[in-house]
Parts: sequence; structure tokens; C-alpha cells
Amino acid sequence: MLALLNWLRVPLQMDKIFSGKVTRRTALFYGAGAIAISIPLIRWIVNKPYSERLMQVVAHPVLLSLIATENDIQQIGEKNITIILSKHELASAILLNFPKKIYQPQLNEIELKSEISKKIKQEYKQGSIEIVNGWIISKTELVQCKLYNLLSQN
Amino acid sequence: MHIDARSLSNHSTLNAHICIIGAGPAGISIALEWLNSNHSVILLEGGNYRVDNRMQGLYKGKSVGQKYYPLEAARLHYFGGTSGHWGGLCATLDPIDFRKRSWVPESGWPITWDDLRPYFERAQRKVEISSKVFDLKEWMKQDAELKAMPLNPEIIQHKLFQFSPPTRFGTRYRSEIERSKNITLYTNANVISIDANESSHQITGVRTRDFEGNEHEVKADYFVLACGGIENARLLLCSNRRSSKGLGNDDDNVGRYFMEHLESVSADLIMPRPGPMKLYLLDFYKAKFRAELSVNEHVQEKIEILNGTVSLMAKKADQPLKSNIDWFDDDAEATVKMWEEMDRIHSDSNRFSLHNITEKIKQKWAPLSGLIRSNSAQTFELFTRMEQSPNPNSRIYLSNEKDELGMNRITLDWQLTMLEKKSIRKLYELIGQEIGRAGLGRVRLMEWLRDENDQNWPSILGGGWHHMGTTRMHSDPKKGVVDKNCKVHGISNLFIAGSSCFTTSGAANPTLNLIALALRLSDFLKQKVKIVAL
Repeated sequence: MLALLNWLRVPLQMDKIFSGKVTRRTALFYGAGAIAISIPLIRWIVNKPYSERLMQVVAHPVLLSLIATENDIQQIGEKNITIILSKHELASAILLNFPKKIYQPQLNEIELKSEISKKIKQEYKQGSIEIVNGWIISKTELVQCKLYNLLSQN
Repeated sequence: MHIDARSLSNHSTLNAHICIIGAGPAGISIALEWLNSNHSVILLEGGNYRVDNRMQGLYKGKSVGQKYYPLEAARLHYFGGTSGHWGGLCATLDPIDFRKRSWVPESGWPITWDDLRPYFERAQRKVEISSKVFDLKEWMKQDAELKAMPLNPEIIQHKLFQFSPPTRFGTRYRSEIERSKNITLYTNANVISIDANESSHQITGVRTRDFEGNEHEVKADYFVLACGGIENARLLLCSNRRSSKGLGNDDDNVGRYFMEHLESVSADLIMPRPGPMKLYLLDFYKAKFRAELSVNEHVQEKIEILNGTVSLMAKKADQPLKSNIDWFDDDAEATVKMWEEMDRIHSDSNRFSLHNITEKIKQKWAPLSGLIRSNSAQTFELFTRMEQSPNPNSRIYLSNEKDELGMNRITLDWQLTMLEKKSIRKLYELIGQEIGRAGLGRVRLMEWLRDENDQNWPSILGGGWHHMGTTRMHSDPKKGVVDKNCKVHGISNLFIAGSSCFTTSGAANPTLNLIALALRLSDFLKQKVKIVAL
């Protein structure tokens, strides 16, 4: 998951966490403690079941689906992203930094699609793109294709 | 005045103030500048008024590098020159093309875009394009149907091309030349050598020969070589009576730096709901202009790529891609006939489409495939025209084989570098990014561009019949053949006109630019001879 976040260039801002004056030993102590607590927490967050509909919305590369065949999208999704991830991890990566209220507890599809679309455009603007089978696509679109693939396998 | 050189008695000597060798767009454009002056001009054309394959046979040569067109058909050896199969696309070079670019070896002209600017407008009149304006905004004001894609001009720009009718210089300017009192056109006057004095610093005359073996000599104060991007170099190399390496070739630059535009379909642009695309699509013989996409020069500088443009064409379904080189006919007569027929049909005001070059865009519904593809998506082929970086190993040189007139034929070794490939790939990445940012669609690269480490070129890669750089302009005689005034270094009265003088090729089609450069040369010559109008 961390590798995926890093690949998506999510700023972790670790430097701010350690901005105060701390000794190496204290830092290690608190760091180990934080990791011990956060790993199960993150696992719980990312594995928290999303509704089937939410997964479908998140996995839908809207513009790409208008111009590419289903086969194209599946082939794009076959590209490995660093590590093997679960559906929930992929969906969480896409939803990261979105206001939770737009998808939980109630799913606002229109707003969620709009947020994803904005995120994708921003990635194009920043050059956060990948070339897969010749398609020049944003990184989030690639994750969407991957997720689409996993969902369609079920 | 026109004289068929075959009617002259053998070993005639002809005299003039100016001798222009070659009657293509550059040579004719210069000659026209001297109409009704008090200076006599001889315009030598090796061919006749009609193209014929025996004459074209003089242009045969071998190609040993990157696959290229048959050399006997890629240029035309008759009055009007290669304008006989010109498509008419016109755009000016860009200011960046003239500058020294640290990432482009051997770049940097000794003149700037501003030096050439006054001549663009005059060149535009010669090629009969309808407007001197190349500013897209001005065109859009006049036609509400023209809509530009909302791309960030700081990254991707629209470059406007205008279409010449196209002007066939041979038919368009024949009567003006024939009626002229001070210009004498000699057809069937193939120049086989340029003769210099003992020190090789001055040209004393040129010799012509016809198929019957008759030879003549032309003497003049000034000589202008205007035979095209390949023949200019060939003639200098063949003129080796005084200088064993050929005229102007003390530093082995003649024939080197051969450049072409790399042309190929390179990607698809697929749009779910394309807006009006009139601005981008070619309606041959009808359209007066077209916009192509190019990379902003600041971005070119930042990511260190060459200049290039991308045009859009409606994609034809299920048609195997072929290189222009593969479908190009080596029968020049047939090619010219085809163009003449198209010109005629057009002049009869009939609309038609041109196979293999373009066709009028039709609403082509993308085939439904799978469950989710929109039925209104439209695919456009993205076609590259990429600058070639100057490369001394990309060259023409003389072979031992002789043509029918006894001149050495040439061998072309067209060589490309990875800078060209990197530039094409980056160009499409940027276009793909901008299209994505604007939410217009997606770009899909062709197979040959997908792997950035792949150093091969695809079989579909072609060129534009744009032969440039073989007598390149450089202020340093060790690095170029002509100086900033197109005078051959070290020779006081020999000048070269045409795209062979280009230091870099830019991405614009060369015709308009080479005419501008030729007109600048003509003005320079006028200053030298202090022309007085009659």
C-alpha cells in the first residue's frame, strides 16, 4: 500500500512529524509504537468493506471507457503496479484525500465521479502519467483499470 | 525568351550578368526578381517543359541508409522543378529554428528569423497563398466554425499552415519568363560542371551537355546554383577539375548534413465527443489553411527536444499502414500526370478526395466493441513531421556509377539519431498529457514509440521529399559551405539558392522558406551589381 501511495506521489510529510527536537532513541521508541498501532489501523481502514456499488463507481475509468474497448481496459489493467494489491487497497488508493462524506455512509455518485475526474485531470497536468500498451493515461486511470480487472474476474 | 539548347550549334558560348542553374521554385523566384532589369540573366534548365523519365533517370542514385524514396522520382527534373508534385503546404520556420540550441549538435544559423521575415511576405506572393497572416486568432475571427482545442499554449501550440493552390512554377511563370527581354531560359541545358579559375576562388563558367553530346559554355559575372537539396551538392562534388574534393569542399562539408523531415503516422487521438475539427483537417485543394500542433519553444528547450508538428487525419478503418515510401511511384511521369489531372479536376471546380494523401473528413463511427465503448467516439491519426538534427554522417556522396551524361551518380546515406526518436516520443507524451488535462480524449502511441529504449525505426517512417542541409549555411568555412549571404565560402561569385543552405531543418515545409531565402539572396546580388531598372 505504501509503495502504491508513493507511486501515486501522495505526500506523507514525514519531515513535519519529526520537526521537533527529539533524541534518536525517543524517536525510535515513538516511531516503533506508532507503526505498531498504525499497521493494524491502516489494514482496518483499507480493508473496511466498501459497498459493491462504490467499488464499481471507483473502478470505472469514465473517459477511457467511452473510447476504448473493454478488452483494451482489461489489458491496461494487467500491468503490474509494483506489488499485488487487493481490490480494497486499490479503491482506497483512488479515494485517498477525497472527503469521506461523498462516499460513506451514503454514496454520492455524481460528486465522486467529479472528484475522480478532477484528480485525473490534475495528474495529467502534473505529468503523472503512464504509458501502457501505448495508451497515455493518468496513474489513477491505471489503478482504475487494474481494479476493473479484479472486479470483472469475480 | 526561351531557347532549346539543343538548337544551338555545338560548343556555343553564352554570356550574361547572372547565370541561374536550375529552374525550380528557387531559381524561377530569383529570375523573376530580375525581370525588366538592365542585367542579362541566363536561366539554365536541364529538363524540358514536360517531365520525362529519361531525364529523370539522371537523378537515379543508390540509397544505403534509412529507407528512402526512389531518388529519380523524389524530385523533378524539368521546368518548374519539384513544384510539379508539390502539395502546397506553407509555413514559416520558427525563431527557435535559427538559434543555437545546446542540445542540438551543429545548430544555429548565422542569420535570425527576423533577417528572413521581410522575405516571407514576398515568398507568399510567389506561391499565391491567400493571406500574409499566419496568426491563428486572425483566421478564427473570420470563421466562426473554427474552434481550437483548449490546450495550454505554454505547452502545446497551434501552428498555422496555409495552402498554396499549389503553384506549379513551370506553368504559372512560364509566359513571364518567355516574354522577358533580359531573361533567357535555356531548356535541355544540363550543367555537368562548374569551372573555376586556377586558385578556385572564382567561377569562370559552367558547361552544359545534352543527350546528343553537344556541349556549351555559359559565362557570367555571378552564378547561382539552384538545383535542389541533392543536386546542388552533387554538382559541386562533380566539379572537381581544379579542386579534387569538389568546389567549396575544402573542409569536406559538401553533401554532409543531409536532412529530411521524419514523417509518419505515430499515434491515435480518440475523442468521445469531438467538437468541430475543421481547423485541423485537410480538405485538399479546398482548404486554405490547417492548424498543426507543436511544442512551445520554452518546453522544447527545457526537455531538450527538436521542433516538430503533428497533424490530424480521420482514421480509416482496418487499413494496413504503409510508409509513404512504399506507395510512392518511381515513375515520375505517372506521378506528375496524376497531379496534373488533380489540378485539372480542381480547376473544373469539382470536389474530390485524394487517395493515400488525404481525404475529406467523414463522420466515421467507431465500431462498437465490448459493452462500454461510446458509439460517438472518433479516432484521428496523428501524423508527425519532425525536424532532423544536423548530422555530418547523414550525407550524399558520389558513387562510381555514371549517368547518361557522364556525371557521377550519388549515393544517399540518410542517417537518423536517437534525438529524433526521443523528440517524437516526448512530443506525443506532451500532446497526450494536454489532451488528457483538457478532458478531450486520450492518445494512444503506435507500437514503435512505446518502448523508450527501442532504437529502431519503423518501416512506415517516411520523409517529405524535403532535401535540406547539403550545402549548409555557417559563418565558419570549416563548418559550412555557404556564408550568411548564401555565397560559397572562398569563391567570390558562386551562390547557392534553396533548402540545401538550411543549417537546420525546422518542422515547417521548406518551400516557402527556401523561396524567402532565395529572394534574400537575390536582393544581395542586386546590391552587388547595383541594379538599375529599365
